[in-house]
Amino acid sequence: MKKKINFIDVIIIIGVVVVIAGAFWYFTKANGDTAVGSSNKVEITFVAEADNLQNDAVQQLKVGDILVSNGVFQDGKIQDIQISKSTEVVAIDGELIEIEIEELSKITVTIQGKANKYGPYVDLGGQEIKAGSNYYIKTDTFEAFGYVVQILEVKE
Amino acid sequence: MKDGKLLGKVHILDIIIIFAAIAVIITAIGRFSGTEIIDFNTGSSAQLKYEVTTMAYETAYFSNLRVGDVIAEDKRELKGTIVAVEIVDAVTTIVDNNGDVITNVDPKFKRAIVLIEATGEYKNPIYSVGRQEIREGLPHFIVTETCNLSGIISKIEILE
Repeated sequence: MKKKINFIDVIIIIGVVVVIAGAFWYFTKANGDTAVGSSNKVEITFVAEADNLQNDAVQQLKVGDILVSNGVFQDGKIQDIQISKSTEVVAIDGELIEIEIEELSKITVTIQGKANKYGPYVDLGGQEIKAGSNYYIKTDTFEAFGYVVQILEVKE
Repeated sequence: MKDGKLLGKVHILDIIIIFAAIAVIITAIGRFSGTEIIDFNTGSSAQLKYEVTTMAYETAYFSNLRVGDVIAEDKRELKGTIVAVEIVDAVTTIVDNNGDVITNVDPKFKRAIVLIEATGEYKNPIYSVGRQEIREGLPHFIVTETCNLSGIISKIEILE
């Protein structure tokens, strides 16, 4: 069977090509910003803290404990733990004073692990690692909601 | 019309597709030539300098705020950098044991005043950098590779 390509078919083909090219341009336009597609593993060391915890609960966390996330152990462990009393600021006789709360503790932990890095975005076990970000300090026997305080080192 | 064909020659579906193709071509020309054949309102580039005063944090949280750090959003870097960082006292107000209202320097927390220069976008009537709108008084996240601190935009200057 012999088929001829007519004028309409050509217009349709051109139309389809233009639509594809337009869609490609629209979804990949950079706006001058630098987007990063692929990830690489980095070794990260950072400090996280959780405050206002029950005194007994913080005893559960030990140096060497392995991080848990999404129901599995992660490639990260607790390197150092500092336990202190939680504090709050009160006003007494006209002065602002920081006082300790006896029944509550604050833990400051140093964590080292292998994280995924996508350009400026670093995550360990699905949690973003940036100073100020929310962070769950979680092992198989302990969990506390806190924050990332400081990034100490990122090694490619 | 016979068998869906106008004048027995051109099929009605073909005509619809031709119109669609023409619309796409016109808009594509508009985009690439910069003329407003069809207005997509993509906005224009804007050079902004703005200051963000962070919420009160313990000082350790500011350790990773550095002059020269590139601002970011999710997995991409934006065209902007931190040009100045100043750590200042946070002032707080509390009622004391005598019932007096005390306003003084917070002994626990500090604030950072962060100056950022960035190339953003002006899409009538909104200035933005990445997805964040830039307007004095608006909450703002200072995001770099190592920081994600929240604050309030306390000053804004349109450079061009």
